[in-house]
Amino acid sequence: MSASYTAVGWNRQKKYYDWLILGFCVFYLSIFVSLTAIYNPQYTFETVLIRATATLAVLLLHIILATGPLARLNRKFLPLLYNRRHLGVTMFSIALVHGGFSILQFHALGNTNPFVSLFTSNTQFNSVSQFPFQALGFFALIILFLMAITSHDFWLHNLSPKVWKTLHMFVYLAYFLIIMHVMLGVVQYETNPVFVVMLLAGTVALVSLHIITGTKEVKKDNQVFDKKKDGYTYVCSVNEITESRAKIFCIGTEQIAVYKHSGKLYAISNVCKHQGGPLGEGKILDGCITCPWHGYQYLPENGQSPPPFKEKVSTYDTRIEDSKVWLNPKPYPEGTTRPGAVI
Amino acid sequence: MKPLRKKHLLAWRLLAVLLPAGIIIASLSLPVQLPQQLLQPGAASPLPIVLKKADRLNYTVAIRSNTTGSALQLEWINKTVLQYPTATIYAGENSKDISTAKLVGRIEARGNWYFALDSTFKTAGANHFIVYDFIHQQVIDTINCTP
Repeated sequence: MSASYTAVGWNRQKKYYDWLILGFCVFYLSIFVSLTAIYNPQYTFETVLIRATATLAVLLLHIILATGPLARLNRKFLPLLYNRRHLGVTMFSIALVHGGFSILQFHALGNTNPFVSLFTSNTQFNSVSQFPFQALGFFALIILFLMAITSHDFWLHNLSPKVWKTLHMFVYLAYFLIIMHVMLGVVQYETNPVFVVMLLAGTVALVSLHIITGTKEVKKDNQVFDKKKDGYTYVCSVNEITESRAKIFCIGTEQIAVYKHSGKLYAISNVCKHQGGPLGEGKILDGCITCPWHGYQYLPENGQSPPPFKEKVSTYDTRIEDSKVWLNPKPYPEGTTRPGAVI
Repeated sequence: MKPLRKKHLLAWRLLAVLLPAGIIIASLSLPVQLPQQLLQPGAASPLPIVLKKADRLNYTVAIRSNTTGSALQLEWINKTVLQYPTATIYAGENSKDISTAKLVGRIEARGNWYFALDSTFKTAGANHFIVYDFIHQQVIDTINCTP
């Protein structure tokens, strides 16, 4: 959330997580290099670096892709979601080191341009076992590069959230390419099964996690609220909503977050103006509804970001009768002040 | 939000089909390996008897055994740093075709490498080895060990 563009909005929390990410990467690489030095002292430095960065990048990609569903299952993972973009850029940087050193090691020693060599040294596209797996990694790296350079909000605003989201959904293609890069590459020549087992475990866990949470979310989205009165829809009882937190309701085409705050219930659109994050999964901090994805904030009574910020979301009317919460799904224009329902 | 969630779910459902399919296809194409464990250079010591040997300018290859002949070992010694950063060794019939050969293991550009071989090795390609660069998909060398 910014009134003007700055390079990166580093607050105390982001700095803390960035140090954590850096520390973890250094720790992982050190352990990998040390163990290789002990058990395989004859490996060249380039080989060790290529393998260390490859495994680290794959591990980070799994963490990044698992963050979304984990945060939906347990709020304790929300800080990871908040810092996911930094982790993504870190992962790309590590993958770039892997790609760069691989091209240097395997293609830069001849008299052919390394990039030409990458695509022409092996053209057995009709073979599975001898498939040019390096090309898959190269294309995955291109996708990760495009994602990394457009990760700043500048690009989100200029490309529009729809285009930006579509571009960043290519991470799924990148993930597929990377898994196949590994399966058709190193796995074909690796006699130790541990690596394959770990990769399979990661893939199965990730796919299962996404399918389970995604199905759950879609089911929640399709929940039918059939008790209606005077334009209002009965949604839940007051006790079902925790203080400073919200419950999300999907009525017709509207996704609404109903927040409990200081003895009142307020309803605002569940969709954050920044990246479409679920505002109802956030909480009220300093009197503002705070998006769990990147910390964008809105006042509960009018859906406006506190000055000097200008983002606004729609507001809705709520009513309480005998501890039952009734919600009017007709949206008010963005930023309209509503009194909220007194509990 | 709703369509976006559906798109994400659709993408993962697609991956749930494509990833296992890709992994299974890739696994089916894994080369047949000699039933042996790759020995780490530091952990392996050469067996005492040299049965067969081949000498090249840059490396020496030997088949070794223990005193009773119950254990076999392939020894690969890089005399100088190889031009290839990494390569695989196949035991095959007398040809350059790795599709019918059995994967013995992988070597790096320098150092000594030891691979345990069992009795099936004798029928897997006798004393003929193919050194293969899997990055550029080309045969680097074929080696016939001699007694």
